[in-house]
Amino acid sequence: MRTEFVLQEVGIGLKRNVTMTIAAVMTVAISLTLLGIALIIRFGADQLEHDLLNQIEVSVYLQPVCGTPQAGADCLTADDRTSIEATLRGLPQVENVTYISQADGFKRFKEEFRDSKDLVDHTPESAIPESFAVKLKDPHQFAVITSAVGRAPGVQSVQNASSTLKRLFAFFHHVTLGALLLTVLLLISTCLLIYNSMRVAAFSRRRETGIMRLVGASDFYIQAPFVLEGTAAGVAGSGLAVLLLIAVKWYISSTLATRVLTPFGEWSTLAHALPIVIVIGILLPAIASFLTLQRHLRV
Amino acid sequence: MIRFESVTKVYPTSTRPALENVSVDVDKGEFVFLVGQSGSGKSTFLRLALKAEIPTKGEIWVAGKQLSRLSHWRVPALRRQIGTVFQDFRLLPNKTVAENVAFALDVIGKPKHVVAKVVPEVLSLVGLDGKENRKPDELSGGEQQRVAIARAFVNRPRVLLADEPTGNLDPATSIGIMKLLDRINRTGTTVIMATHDSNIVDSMRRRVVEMESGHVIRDQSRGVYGYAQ
Repeated sequence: MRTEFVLQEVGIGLKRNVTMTIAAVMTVAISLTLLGIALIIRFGADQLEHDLLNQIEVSVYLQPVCGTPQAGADCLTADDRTSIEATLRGLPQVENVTYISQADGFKRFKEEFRDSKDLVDHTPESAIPESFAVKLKDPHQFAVITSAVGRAPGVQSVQNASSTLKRLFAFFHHVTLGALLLTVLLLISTCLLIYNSMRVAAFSRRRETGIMRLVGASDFYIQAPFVLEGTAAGVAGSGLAVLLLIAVKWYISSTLATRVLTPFGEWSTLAHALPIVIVIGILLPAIASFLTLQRHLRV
Repeated sequence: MIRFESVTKVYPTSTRPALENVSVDVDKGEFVFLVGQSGSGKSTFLRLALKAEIPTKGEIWVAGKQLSRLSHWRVPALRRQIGTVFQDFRLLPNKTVAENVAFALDVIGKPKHVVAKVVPEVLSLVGLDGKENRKPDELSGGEQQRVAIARAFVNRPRVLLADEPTGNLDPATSIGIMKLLDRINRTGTTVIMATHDSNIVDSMRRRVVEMESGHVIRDQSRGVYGYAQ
């Protein structure tokens, strides 16, 4: 085999078809970038879910203490407080229980809403209920808390941040799905584009391939330049996509990924996505061009 | 060298057979003219010998191989033993004379040093010394056909198939091409040439196979083009 001769033919083919080549490289790059973004969202959301659920506490809010102006008929007595705490600590699923007084709760409230000055200014300390912050061994088991103390005297409500997060993660899953669907559509159009540019290439080189067939060139010699052209477009497209994805990663980590969204901007997330992107980016065009030739370059 | 045994070829788009029950036997080293009107089946005959078409019925042997038993991947090996020349030359316009000839060796993976040695030899044989670096459109028709013959012969095939090689050339130039084909035939290469050119056939006095509507109607050694007994 004469590698050098085959490569020379590839170069001629790429130059002759330069606009098609550029179009193929760009579609490959764009669809792969989208695939990469979908994967970053997917892997990032998984990581975020894992991280957040481990930090989550279930809050058991208590009624106002009997005798205070806010107290109603079902007010909280000291005995209630002790028995709720005892019940919580007695549950096997609970890792630890922290009592948060009205003053501590108000501090947390002010910290959490420090950006909404109006809200903080108009909320008196007395409006914040006392609570127990319960940390679970398995964050998915929050229902145990509700059933254990949800109706106990003195309990106002049991709140679980993971239900809010569940909706957030459902959202992430939908975004991922949507992006993957778009990616599939784009990859299909990439294949069709490569199919067409291969057909054009096969047509514009019918003289050469006709002579090759006549003088007894093997299928390999006839088809290799075309498949390598497709692969070259795939490699170039993947390269571009990798650069774009690094830019996306850099953008996320510098702007969006403050505090909560950190996992989306991490190298490890990108590192998960890149091998998939590169493998698809190189294999797909090669396979697409090979299949085209099976139909349009029969010996 | 080439044997057709009761070969029939019907193209899918046509009801009338292009060849019907044709049996021809060509020995090693023979020079055979295939004559007949357009559509008589001459080109189909040549395409079948190349395994560019598959016969509907019958068996074909070329260079010792039975074509119906030749698997797809061994067809290239068959074609390396057959040189082919056409009326329209089929040269690559972007390549020089030498590159056009070298192309036939490059694409079958011949080593570079072999190509560098063999190409000037064959160009000299066909009388194109000094024109190695011309492009086909800088050459006359006769010279272009010489390049095509050089390309067909450079790999020293056992059979040379020529489909109206003088069809686009004037009589004087045609004589030069025929001399060249005769020389190639004298090296032991079997030559089968389809042609309309009665002057050439009459002057060469070689075997003539005449075809009409897919049938062989005459097979004569040392024959002439037209009717002759």
